[in-house]
Amino acid sequence: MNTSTPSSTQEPSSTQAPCAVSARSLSKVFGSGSNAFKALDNVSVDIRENEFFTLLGPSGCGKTTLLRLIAGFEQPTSGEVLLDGEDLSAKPPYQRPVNTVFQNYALFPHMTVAENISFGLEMLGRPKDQIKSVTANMLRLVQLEAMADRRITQISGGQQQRVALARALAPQPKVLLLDEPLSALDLQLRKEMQLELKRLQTDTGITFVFVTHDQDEALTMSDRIAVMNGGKILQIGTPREIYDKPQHRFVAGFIGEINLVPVEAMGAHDYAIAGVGSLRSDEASVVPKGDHAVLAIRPERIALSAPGPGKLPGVVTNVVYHGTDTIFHIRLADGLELRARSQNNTARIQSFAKGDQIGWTVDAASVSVLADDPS
Amino acid sequence: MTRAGKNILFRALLIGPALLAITVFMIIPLGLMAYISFRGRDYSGGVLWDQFTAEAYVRLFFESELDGTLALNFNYMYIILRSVWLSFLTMVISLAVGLPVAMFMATRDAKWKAVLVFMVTLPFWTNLLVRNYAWILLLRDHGIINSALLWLGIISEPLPLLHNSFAVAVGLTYSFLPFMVLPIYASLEKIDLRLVEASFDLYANRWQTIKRVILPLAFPGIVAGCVLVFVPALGAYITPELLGGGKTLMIGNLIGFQFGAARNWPFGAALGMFLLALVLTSLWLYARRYRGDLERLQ
Repeated sequence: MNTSTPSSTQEPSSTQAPCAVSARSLSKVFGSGSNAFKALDNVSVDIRENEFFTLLGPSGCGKTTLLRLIAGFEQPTSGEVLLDGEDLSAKPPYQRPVNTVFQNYALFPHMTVAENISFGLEMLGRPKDQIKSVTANMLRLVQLEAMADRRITQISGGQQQRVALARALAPQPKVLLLDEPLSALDLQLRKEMQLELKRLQTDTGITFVFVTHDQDEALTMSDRIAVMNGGKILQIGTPREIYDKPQHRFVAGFIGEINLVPVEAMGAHDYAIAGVGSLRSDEASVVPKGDHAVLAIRPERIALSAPGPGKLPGVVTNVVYHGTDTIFHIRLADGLELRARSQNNTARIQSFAKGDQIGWTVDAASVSVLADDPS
Repeated sequence: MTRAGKNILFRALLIGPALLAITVFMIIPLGLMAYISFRGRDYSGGVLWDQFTAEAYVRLFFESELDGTLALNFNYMYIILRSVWLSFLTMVISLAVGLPVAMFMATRDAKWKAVLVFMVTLPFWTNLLVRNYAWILLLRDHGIINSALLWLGIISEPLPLLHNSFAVAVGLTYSFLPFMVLPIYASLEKIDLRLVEASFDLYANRWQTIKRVILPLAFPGIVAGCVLVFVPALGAYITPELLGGGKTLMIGNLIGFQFGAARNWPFGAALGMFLLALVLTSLWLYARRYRGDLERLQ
């Protein structure tokens, strides 16, 4: 990795709040011999206290494996998991002060809602009156007081989701692990639960480690996001950093829509698009002058206007109307096309049509520079 | 034909086969048994069809003295009680042995599971009679077990292993163990492994997880296994006949004796009715005790 990009997998742990969970050079290989599959490849990450931390990536990227290693359901092939600085390796799941919200909830079908929620406290041997009051508090927290004595099979999916959450929160774990807990819900309910989860995290002050493949979910809820692919963490940052300053082609492409424009570095901040013109970026170049690089530009950051001086030329090849916004497909040169998103702030008819010659500009702050390798 | 008429005919045709099967295989034989149990006894074998009497049922509890008076007789009750006790013992031992076996099987990987299920069902491939004779070879005074213990110097006299209640209990457990293992295995196998993970995650150790999560979820299988062992054990014939050596009779042998050597068909039928009542009563008690637990798993 180039020295000018901060090493994303090796963040210093001294920043801000102390660490709740740390992974140190964690690897996990499933199977052996020719069937061996490296689910997690030398991952190190520090998750801070009281943080809503999201592991984001496509299926098979290793995010769930990392979560299961923290919970203790899997043993790492190498590396270690630290909780409050203490090595967890020797501890079985039932001795780790960590609770999980499972993807399909894994609620006990032979128990009532209240029995599910109090299970963890009972196993911890808490006094009866404490179990009772904490369970009542949890039922109130997830607004299921009326359902306390219902069976799990008698409540809806959204309610089951909240029971799973209450069950995992009741023992007041140091860290709450959430494995795609919203994926089984419909869109409307998912949006509500996103806000509710965030509220619960703020209210309880518990560290949340949230696994998802849904970029919207990650951007909406997280304090920080780790984007994973192929068993590695590619980049860790706030939702803003991840969206605005992607450091990998994969990160750029996975989160939202983005234009990737091949360029040649002309100086520290200037880049030439062959046959079109040049662009400026606030970011220092990741490659020496004369080498190839790739610019990553979000469609909504491209400003369209009539052709003129100081603007780059292009031809509109397609206009796609989306209600709140319109997407313009713009051909720059042979084989090079951009997409620009323009907000429909007024009901005025858009001034550009298919075949129009236009001019476009991008603010230098909105241009990210990536190395020209396929990762 | 009217539309309603057609409808009735159609339904009759649909229900017909099931109704016929139930009538031929259940109602007629049971009815015949009940009927015979209230008929007079033909000493040459068979039944006096035109004579109604409850004599067979009286005989269950009383014997007639030479002067014609009735005296309480517990001989048959004793055999019936022993049958219940031995069947219950068989059920408990089968559960104690079968549950860990089923748990072991259910936690292997798919390839091993198939092999293990095959091994459990293997005894069914040969005759029960032959397998009970095999136990005689193992248990008799100069059998394999006693010979081995004598040779090792652990005992100086052969242990009385054959022709007693112990031998019958061993034989019954051996015969019916697969009926305990298979339903429990089936219900364990259906348990979502994530529930076990959830239990571990919520601070339950292995033992607590078995007690609080796995056993309650396997409960329907355990009930099915217990019923499948207890009921046929109660009516067992071959095992007490061979391993009990005519001294440890069970209801099955008593019934066999009445229809055979004793030529007392009505009494045999009455014993059959009594066995039926016993089974139904125990199932009813069982169901009443565990209905709630079963329903919550529906």
